[in-house]
Amino acid sequence: MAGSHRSGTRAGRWLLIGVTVLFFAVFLFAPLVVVFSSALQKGFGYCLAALADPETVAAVRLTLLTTCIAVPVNTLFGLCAGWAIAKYEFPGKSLLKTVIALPFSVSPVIAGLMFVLVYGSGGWIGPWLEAHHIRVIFAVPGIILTTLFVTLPLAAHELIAVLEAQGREEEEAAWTLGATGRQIFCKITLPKIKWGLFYGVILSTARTMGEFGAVSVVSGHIRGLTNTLPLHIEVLYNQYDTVAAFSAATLLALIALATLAAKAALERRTERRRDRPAPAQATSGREEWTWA
Amino acid sequence: MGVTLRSVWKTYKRTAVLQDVDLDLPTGKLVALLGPSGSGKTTLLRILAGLEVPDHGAVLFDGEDVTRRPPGVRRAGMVFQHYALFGHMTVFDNVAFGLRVLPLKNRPLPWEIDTKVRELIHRVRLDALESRYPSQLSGGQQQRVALARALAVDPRILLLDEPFAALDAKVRVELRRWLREFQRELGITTVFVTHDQEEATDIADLVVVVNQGRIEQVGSPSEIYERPASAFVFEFIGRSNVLPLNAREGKWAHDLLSRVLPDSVSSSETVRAYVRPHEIDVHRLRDRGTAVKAVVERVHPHGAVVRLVAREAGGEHRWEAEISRDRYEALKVNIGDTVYLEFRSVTIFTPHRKVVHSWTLDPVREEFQQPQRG
Repeated sequence: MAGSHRSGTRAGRWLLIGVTVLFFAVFLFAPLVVVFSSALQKGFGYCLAALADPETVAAVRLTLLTTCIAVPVNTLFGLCAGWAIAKYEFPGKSLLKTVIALPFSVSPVIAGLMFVLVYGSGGWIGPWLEAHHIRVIFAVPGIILTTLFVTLPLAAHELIAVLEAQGREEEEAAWTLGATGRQIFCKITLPKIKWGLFYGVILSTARTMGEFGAVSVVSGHIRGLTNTLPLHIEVLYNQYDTVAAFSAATLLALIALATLAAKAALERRTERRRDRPAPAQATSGREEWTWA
Repeated sequence: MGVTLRSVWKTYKRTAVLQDVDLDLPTGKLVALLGPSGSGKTTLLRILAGLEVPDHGAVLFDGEDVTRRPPGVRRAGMVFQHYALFGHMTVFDNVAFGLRVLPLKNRPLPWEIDTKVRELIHRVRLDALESRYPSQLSGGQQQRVALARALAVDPRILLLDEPFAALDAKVRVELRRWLREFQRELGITTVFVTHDQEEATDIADLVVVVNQGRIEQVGSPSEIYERPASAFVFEFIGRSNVLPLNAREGKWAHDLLSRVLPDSVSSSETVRAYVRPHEIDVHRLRDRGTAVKAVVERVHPHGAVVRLVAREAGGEHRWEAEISRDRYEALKVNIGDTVYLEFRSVTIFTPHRKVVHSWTLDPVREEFQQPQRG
């Protein structure tokens, strides 16, 4: 009985492992291999030449510009929102906590359309912007704004969770000890949340660089001007320029892999900190008392 | 340093947490803020620390108004209930924190900070542990780190929020006796919050009983126990039996009350009457008319005394009596035996007065006006 039971478990175990590995191979590993092999099918030199194409370089530059603006802004906003939500009580707090996740639940295409409706020539403030010769839609500002919107909750979500879990006792303790607001933030809060902060930055960087749907709606696809890297890849692919498309795609794939590696390293680090064994003295229930 | 609170009010989300609190804490005393959870005692402590600002009223340190002064400026050292140690800093860095954040012109030199921190760590007996992190310390050790950290900035007053609640029972008693001695040595005015009346009466010079955002009584531990100012204090401090005052179940108590307090029996909801367990004599035979006939249900030996729980014959009311072990052995009572309970004295509270009715002495009446409320 016991033996058959055990062998049944073993069969189940191999089945589960088999399905998981197969799934990984088909849906994750194979596409990644295809990206790299397609990029390199005409040789390494051709791949590099494709990347050096002025329009690709412009796309990379625009993506980097967007990232350099969106990630710091989102991180700063995340810190403010996290601090406000975790440390203060105010009316509408729970509403704010719900609304902050809105960009997660709205389809990116809808997000893009929303921006067109607000800033586009037929939109709410579009005519006013046009009168002042400010182009938002089908221009770089629109790309940055929509990217900001779509990636807004990433850092904030992470930081709200960390800050809420920390509570505010340590900050209060520092306050009673005479620390100023800046000292409290730099010496107490920041060291506590730094890994959460880093994690949030990594996530929003990855998402900012890869954003397609929302940006696609507002960009206007002007080659060399308003095409970000993901949009440029689509253009190349639609022109049957597979090697160039996949060469550009390797850039995004490499960024994704680097993000993953950073995230894994981070998780291993926090786990090690948590598992750091406490000395026997601290774990024993009874303390050593020598008050004589 | 002497501390004064003058008609302090505090409201959270339309609930009055503190109502018109007046309090004078003399210099150098160890003061317990005692009350049930939600009584406002922690809010009171946080107002003293400067972590909360009262809606009305004033906080005075040695006569100087510090109501709106932030905590660091008023130099109130605080030990939090869960210690709130800085988890990413060693014991040494935790204790040194208050000195290292001083403005540059007041900050001691690094070697002066070192000397002072080492001395404090020595005083709280953590010498070998200065490079440990808080997560590597036991609860009692963490608490002493929190204490040393609070003392590093030479506070004018030391505030402790439920300092012993998170410790196990044995360590708790040792640590509170140690704190008592330590506080005497320092001579610094110290206020601690507790919900444990034994803890408060064991070490405090002065006990402040707080209930529903108001101060019920301020006094030495023996004053609080022997001359409780209100029904709440009587019930909260020490053990007590409540007399059933409804005419059906507690007929004899009702009759007693109508003799002692003829004018207030009609409104018996506002009248409370109590007997302390040690003021009940237990007899095998009835020898006084007012004795209550009861059946012994449980017997709890407690060192030199024995507690008996007995159910009133023909009723549901249970009485707890505390008799000496000698008396218990002389009585030879067992569970299920019938006994007669005689009360030496009953304490009765009406909204405005307190009456102690005693049988052993001549029926003495001790009456006084309770402090008027709101």
